[in-house]
Amino acid sequence: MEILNNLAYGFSVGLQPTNLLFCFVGVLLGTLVGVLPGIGPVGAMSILLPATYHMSPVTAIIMLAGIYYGSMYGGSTTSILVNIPGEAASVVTCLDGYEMAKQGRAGPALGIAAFGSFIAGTLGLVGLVLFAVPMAAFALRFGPPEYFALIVLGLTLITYLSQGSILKAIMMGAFGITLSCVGLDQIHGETRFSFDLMELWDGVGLVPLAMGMFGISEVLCNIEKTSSPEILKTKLKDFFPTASDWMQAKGAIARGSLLGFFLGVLPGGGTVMSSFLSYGLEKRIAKQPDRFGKGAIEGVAGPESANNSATAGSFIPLLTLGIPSNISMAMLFGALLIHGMRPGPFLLKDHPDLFWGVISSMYIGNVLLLILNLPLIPIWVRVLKIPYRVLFPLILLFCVVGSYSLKNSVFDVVIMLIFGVMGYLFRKFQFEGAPLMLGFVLGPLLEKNLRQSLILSKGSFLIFFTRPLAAIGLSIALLLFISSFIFILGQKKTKNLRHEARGARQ
Amino acid sequence: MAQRMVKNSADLLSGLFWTGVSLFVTVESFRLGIGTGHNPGPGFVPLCSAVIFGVLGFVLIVTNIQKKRWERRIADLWKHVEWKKVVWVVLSLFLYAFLFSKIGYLLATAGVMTFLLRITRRSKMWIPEIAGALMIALASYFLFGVLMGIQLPKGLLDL
Repeated sequence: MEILNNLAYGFSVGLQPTNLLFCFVGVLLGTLVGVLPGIGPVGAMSILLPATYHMSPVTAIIMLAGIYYGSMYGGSTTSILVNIPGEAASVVTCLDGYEMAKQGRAGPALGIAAFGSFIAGTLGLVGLVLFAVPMAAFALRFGPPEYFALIVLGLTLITYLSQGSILKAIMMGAFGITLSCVGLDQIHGETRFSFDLMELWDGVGLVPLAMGMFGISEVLCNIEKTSSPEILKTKLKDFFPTASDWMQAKGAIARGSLLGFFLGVLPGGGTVMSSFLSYGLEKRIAKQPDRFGKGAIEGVAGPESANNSATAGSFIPLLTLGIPSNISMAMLFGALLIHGMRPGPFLLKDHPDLFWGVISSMYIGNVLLLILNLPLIPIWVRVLKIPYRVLFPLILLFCVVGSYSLKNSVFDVVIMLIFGVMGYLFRKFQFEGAPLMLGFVLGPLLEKNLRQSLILSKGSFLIFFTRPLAAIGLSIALLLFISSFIFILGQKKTKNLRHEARGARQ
Repeated sequence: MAQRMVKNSADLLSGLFWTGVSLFVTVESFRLGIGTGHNPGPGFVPLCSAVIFGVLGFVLIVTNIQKKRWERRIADLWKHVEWKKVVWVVLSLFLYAFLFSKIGYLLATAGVMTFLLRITRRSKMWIPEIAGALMIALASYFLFGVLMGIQLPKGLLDL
């Protein structure tokens, strides 16, 4: 009953004209960003973050959240029509979605992606409402040692579950923590790594860092490519899947929703992992697995449902524990801090309008996306035809002005460009940006909770092992850390054995 | 056949970079002060993180030196891609940042947009790019400066 009252309150906030307008703007921009391969939701959120400064915190988060889950809807359009994922969580949709389009079934593919996303998004929100409140109540028992352990566990999980090399992901996470130390130390009042530059006393800004690492570097990687994608020439019709399509896809939608939601809660899980695992699951349990990769509708329905459900799940650790579980949540975390809000268990108590307003706006946003997406597909197809050589200067311009507008300072623009070049080089050398961003965002919290814990324990590190929740968190983190090294050594041994076998054969 | 020990592995260079950065951060952390267990100093957390990526960077160096064959060379990273475009774009953006407050938003934006639109086209005519750049500069000035109220640098045109 209390949940219903809270939801009603949330809808009274979400349906306010300003919030409704910016929810619409957010989901529309999110879909656009999802459709365009050149920029992802994180880049878009970082570019639009300065624009939210003059908004109320609730409106700002509603718009930024809309960009995040809206991009999941948009990403499937490019995957199905161009065989290029609009954003990372739609990679798997290319496998069967594009095949369906080649068979003249682009309409049902787009339709099942949209409907599956809507159903999964709604189910994910139900899960968010049911789990968030008890989680927030549980989190009130957390002290500095528990938070420290949770942050260490979160960072370890993110690096453990990274797509590339675990070793490189750990390095990036640690470097992110180092970057977060730049500027004035809040406790001792000393400047750290500021190179005598007054502009660095406030530290490296989140927005220039994010724009550089994800906006500028993405553009640089795209402009060096020699080929440009071509849209499949097919007639777009019959967006409503047939009864037979629904019968085939219903199980995939249900499983994808459940899998996506729980993976979204997990730090490092999120939309990308949930879409991949959903595809793997559907293929494994299918009666005819050889249909996958040749236009199986479950191959579109499952992953697209999973990635939307994951967006709802990923809000739980952010809103209840104050710990972002992925890079997009890290951007929202930064936005909340910029607006003077402290994400965590007290957010529900101190700012119920933000908590319930955002949740209700996600319901509203999902409805808007379903209504908008299918009729607007012809427009998205036209947008896809805009040559990248026209698009990339505009993206760069938005990045430059966005960075400049923070403090009317060219220094922030230079910082963004430096990190843009670094981000480009990191990608070339196969270092992922997400662990760095998470380390950067969580670094100050990590340091603060570490110091507070040591003050409580009068300098003894045993406090992290005598408090049960902290001990469990750190033990899991340690196990994951050790197992990742065992995994790396195992891989090297296998590689060496293969080389020796090849050498012997020659 | 003896393997040529060509030291241009991408991971080897990465390892050297991270080890170098780690050494710098470590030295700075000690200068800032590590503090005590009861009262960690400002250099404590940077030192811990520097040790992590420094050790792992060293692991990258050692594992690559031990390799009998180099799987990825640095030059291969830029094979079959138009890397010169990237260099030109980066240089033009730094120039844009420099000129931004000196000559003003409108002129700097028109200039750099002309260059960026031009860089991916191979034709003798400059007019489409100049026209496009002017449109972008004016439209963006209206959007950012007028509608959003961002204080863009006035520069030479005093606009």
